[in-house]
Amino acid sequence: MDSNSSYSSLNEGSSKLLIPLATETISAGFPSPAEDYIERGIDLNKYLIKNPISTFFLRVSGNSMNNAGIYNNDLLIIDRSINPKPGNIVVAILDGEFTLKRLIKKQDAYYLRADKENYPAINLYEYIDIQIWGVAIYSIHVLQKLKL
Amino acid sequence: MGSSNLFNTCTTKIKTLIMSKAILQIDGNNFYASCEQMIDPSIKGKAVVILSNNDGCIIARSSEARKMGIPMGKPYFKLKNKLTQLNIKVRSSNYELYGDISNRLMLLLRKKCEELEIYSIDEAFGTIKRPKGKCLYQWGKDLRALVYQDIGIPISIGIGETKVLSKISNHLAKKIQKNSGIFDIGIIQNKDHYLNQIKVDKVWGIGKRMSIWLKNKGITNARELRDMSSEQIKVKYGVVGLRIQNELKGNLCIPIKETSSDRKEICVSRSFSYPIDSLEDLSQAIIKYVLIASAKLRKYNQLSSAITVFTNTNTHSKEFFKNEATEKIIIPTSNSKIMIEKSLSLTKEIFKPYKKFIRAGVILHKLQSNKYKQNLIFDKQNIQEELYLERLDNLIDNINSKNGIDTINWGSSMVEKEWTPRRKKLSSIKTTNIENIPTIYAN
Repeated sequence: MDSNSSYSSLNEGSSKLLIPLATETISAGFPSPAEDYIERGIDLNKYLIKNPISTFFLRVSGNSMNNAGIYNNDLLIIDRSINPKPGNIVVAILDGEFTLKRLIKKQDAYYLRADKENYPAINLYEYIDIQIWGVAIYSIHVLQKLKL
Repeated sequence: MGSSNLFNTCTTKIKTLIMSKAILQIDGNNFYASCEQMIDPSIKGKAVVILSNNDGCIIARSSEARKMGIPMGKPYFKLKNKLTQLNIKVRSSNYELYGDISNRLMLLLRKKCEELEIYSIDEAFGTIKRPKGKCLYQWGKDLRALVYQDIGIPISIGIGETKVLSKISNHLAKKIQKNSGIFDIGIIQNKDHYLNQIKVDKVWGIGKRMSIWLKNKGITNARELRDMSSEQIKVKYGVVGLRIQNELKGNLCIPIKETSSDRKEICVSRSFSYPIDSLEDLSQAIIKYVLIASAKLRKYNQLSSAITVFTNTNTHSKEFFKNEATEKIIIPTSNSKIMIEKSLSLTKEIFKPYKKFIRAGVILHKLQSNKYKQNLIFDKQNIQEELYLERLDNLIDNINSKNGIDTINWGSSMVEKEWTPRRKKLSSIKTTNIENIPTIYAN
């Protein structure tokens, strides 16, 4: 029907790079004894992403979640299919923007709070227009920029 | 006597079998607009319109924009002022995003349905088993909630005994507010009340001409169509018309097609943002389209054995001119270089000086699977060259699929000219490219 673009597809093209995992040590100079021991390899997609249909990536800007181990420019993996529980780090929509906060429960009220001192918590019930978009499950932080 | 008895038991058997199978029709509400709102919180719950290719017309509206009376299909420039006045957000169509969201939706539906037929980017037919006489409203409600949580877009679900009825059910799901997007016409014995509400031109499969013919016969709604004389329909519209009527009666005639059969042709065409009148520009456009088309061929492991190029000037102008030319390809191919060569000579054929072309396109037809590729024997040099070209194509396809469309391509297709279609209002947010993912603020 549409001839405009090639759609990306979830079931194609993913998981190309597999790192073989050998379970035995290899002695040098011997004709490839490891070959018999190569297992299926570690696929980060499989490991990090449980539910591809509901998984999205977002880029972090800002430092208010440093104490949670999330830094400026990190790549965040969000799974929308998870029901947010107190303690989870969530992506919320607040005033028309994505915002990253920790969901907490005090007595019977729910709050969103940055992991930083002097940041006031936001009472969920005081906002009419607040929505939790997804639960953050991993943050990928660059240690060393590589030229690829 | 005996044989008619046998026939009777047969039909009842089939009927009970069919009764236990419910047909679903599922679509994404205001799909393009919903995708934009899902990934961009600044326009969530706000009035948004999406423009067609080249930013020409309004092709989708969020429900908020719809409520404000913004019409569908109107040229953008005519409504530009009104949209600004009403503070309605405007987006160019972002097909990379819609394609990704559509994929996710279809994968999820495939898990939840027994069979699934993907009908278009935002629409699918499915089947599930119906426990005897049980309404599937709750099942639909759960599915709707699941899709909204996992993917973030609203869907509507129509349920019925046949495709035509499930389509009608979906209309009703959207029409009757309190149903919140789900309707199951399948458990309603006497459907007259509901079928009366569906205008005849809204019935799936009834085209413009057929609906005019029906209206002249005094048939205005779905119930009247169901109850009219089948003989009349048969004479005028044959089996196609009869099938629609039969489906309205609740007899399944149009089956679910799980895998779409291999496509027979690929067409890539575009309107230019400015008219072009030089052979050079026209050739460049054609090369661009032929490259998109041949990459698609390779993606689906197909070969083409004929190519058509076409172009036309403004249809509304007095000196409207169109032209097309076709050439056979002796050895079926999917190779970009061969396609470019063919299309260039065809472009020369269709070009006419002093004409202002506003649209052009390429059709690859007579497609076949590349499993049964034949080569000319005794032609070693050609085989060698073909292998070489094949490797080049693969390389280009790989680079482009990893790094984005047109990261690398054949020479002149890469030159951006002023006539290339515009996407000025593109949100640039995508879910498919790491460079374009949305930003989340943690300040």
